[in-house]
Amino acid sequence: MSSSSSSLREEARQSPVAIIIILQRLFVIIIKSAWPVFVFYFINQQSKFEYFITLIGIGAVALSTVGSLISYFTFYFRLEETELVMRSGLLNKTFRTIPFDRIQTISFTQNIIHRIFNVVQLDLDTAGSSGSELAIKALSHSKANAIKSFILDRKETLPTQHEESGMLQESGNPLQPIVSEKPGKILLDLSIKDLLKIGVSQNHLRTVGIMVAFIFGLSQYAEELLSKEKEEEIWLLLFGSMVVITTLVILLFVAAFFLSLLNTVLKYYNLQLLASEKGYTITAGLFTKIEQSAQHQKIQLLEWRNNPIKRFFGIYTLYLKQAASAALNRKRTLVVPGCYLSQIEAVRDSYFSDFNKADFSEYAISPLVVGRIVLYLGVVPALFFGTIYILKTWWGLLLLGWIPVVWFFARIYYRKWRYAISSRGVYLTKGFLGQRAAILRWYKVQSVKVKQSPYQRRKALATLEFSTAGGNLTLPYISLTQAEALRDYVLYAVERSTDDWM
Amino acid sequence: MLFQNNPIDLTTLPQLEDTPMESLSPSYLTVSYLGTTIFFLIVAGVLTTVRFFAEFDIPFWVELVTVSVWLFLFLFSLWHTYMDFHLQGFAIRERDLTYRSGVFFRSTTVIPYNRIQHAEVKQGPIERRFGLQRLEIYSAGGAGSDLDIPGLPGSRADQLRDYIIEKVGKHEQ
Repeated sequence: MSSSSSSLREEARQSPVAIIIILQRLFVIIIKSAWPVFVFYFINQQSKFEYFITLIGIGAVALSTVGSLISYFTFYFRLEETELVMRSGLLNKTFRTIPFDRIQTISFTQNIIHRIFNVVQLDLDTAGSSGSELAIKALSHSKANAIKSFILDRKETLPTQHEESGMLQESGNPLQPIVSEKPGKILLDLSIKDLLKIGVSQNHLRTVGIMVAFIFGLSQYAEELLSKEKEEEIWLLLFGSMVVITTLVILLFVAAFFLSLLNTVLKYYNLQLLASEKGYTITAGLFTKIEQSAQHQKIQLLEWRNNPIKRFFGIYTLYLKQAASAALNRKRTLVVPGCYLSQIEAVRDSYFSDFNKADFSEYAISPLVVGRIVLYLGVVPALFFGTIYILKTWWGLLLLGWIPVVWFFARIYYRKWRYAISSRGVYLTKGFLGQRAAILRWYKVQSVKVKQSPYQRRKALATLEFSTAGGNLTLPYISLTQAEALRDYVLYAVERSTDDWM
Repeated sequence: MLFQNNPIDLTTLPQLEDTPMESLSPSYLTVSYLGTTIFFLIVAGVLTTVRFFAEFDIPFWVELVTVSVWLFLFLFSLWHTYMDFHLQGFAIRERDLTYRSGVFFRSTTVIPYNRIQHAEVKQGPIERRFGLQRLEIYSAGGAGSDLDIPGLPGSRADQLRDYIIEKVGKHEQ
């Protein structure tokens, strides 16, 4: 290792594979942001769009290629005795030094391209605000390993070291763990059966988006036909297109179902949740292996939820919300799909030691919330759209039927909303089709807000909001006296607390 | 009744409602009135330009409705500015900072000193002319939980920041 450590001090570029990886990333970004354009284009293939689409396509390809080449050839890094120095950029030059003692985790990830070329991405995660982490997008295994040991040798403790070793053994290219530590306890090892359960119960909202675009295209097509064809033929066409539309919708549903199933398998294949003394680590993925970890003291609040299908299977998705700057929030939340209640309880007990339901006193929110939901989501939309339609046809009256539907669900929402308070934290459950739950320790609270709408003021009600570094927890429609007493108590608890929230 | 298993007597806890609120500097009200008026004058200017350069006839009733709506919104905004100023307030306690705001939707936010990340005093060009400053308080709780207290007379804002920073520093020792 000593021979390579001297070479590490010299300024180096990434492995050339990085060009392909940057390119791939740019394409993914382009496709993700522009997919509705493609869908729209494929639905109504009009020649006037073709020219623009081709132009945009060529431009995007050219720009990404140049961009990835520049990005590769201007990125340099070298190691010094106590820090990593990196510089990059052609016009906007960036120089950055990352002191080794700031580095929290060193992790290797591989996507399918990394695997093909047998390289890894090295992620250095540091404590601090956004933009403070560094990703070296492609490095050979030996070089990545040398950098890791170089940094580790000069850094006494690395909190999540043992977790990496667990991941690396899985990645198909076993590397020698530098510091031998016993791996964490496996809390959750997702079986194929549970993987399929998650896939089946995915939110198929994406289907709706694609369908809307599709139907939009079809209706334009129909309009064009109507303007061209004669009256008698229209009915035949209408009937024919009804059959076509129904078939297509069914086909789309089936396709979307299998697509999200496939996506789930790719994303969550071989998912493992490891629990250690320091925190949790989750590893998953068939082609792109993802490893994410959360240290115990960084977890701010826990949430878990299911939907009706997940409820049928008895599984939940667990969210471990970590402290992070707002820009990083999404990335920092550890999402664990396919948890059974026993696993959630294990995580809960480590977050909220000696959790005991008997210590909590349970409360409901005000029943007046039902009236408000019915007004805003039921009466107002029904009257608005009702009056629009009634001008055309009396069928508009049918929209009034929306109001009892909203009332029915608002009742369920109210009945299921429960929050329980103890001297150490709050625990809440809610939901109307599925279930949602959250738990928060008082000392994690950053600020407390009491909010009142004009209606709430008339009824002496309030909404209480606790902000934490991992997200908010809100208690809506509780009595003002309760909200104020709770606020005063939580402030007392936070101000007296000597526990570090992170 | 609230926390049955709690050994602490809740009535002895300090209650925020008892704390008197300090209001903002009266010249902040002037600045706010000025801002509102300038905005509505710009809108009036745009509308007048449209009226005189339009290549189509604008019926009289449209003009009447436009002017009444403009006048109504202008008066409403002035009233809102007045109410907003009088309902805003902040309170400094030994261990936390409170800020209250909102005319229709009112909110009261409290940040304990031991959760404050940093405090900043800011001043825009108009504020400088009126000798005003704004105090910004950041916690780790994200944008929704940061405090932005406008309309503080210069010395007061600096004084508050120094006080808060001293408190935050004491906590960290």
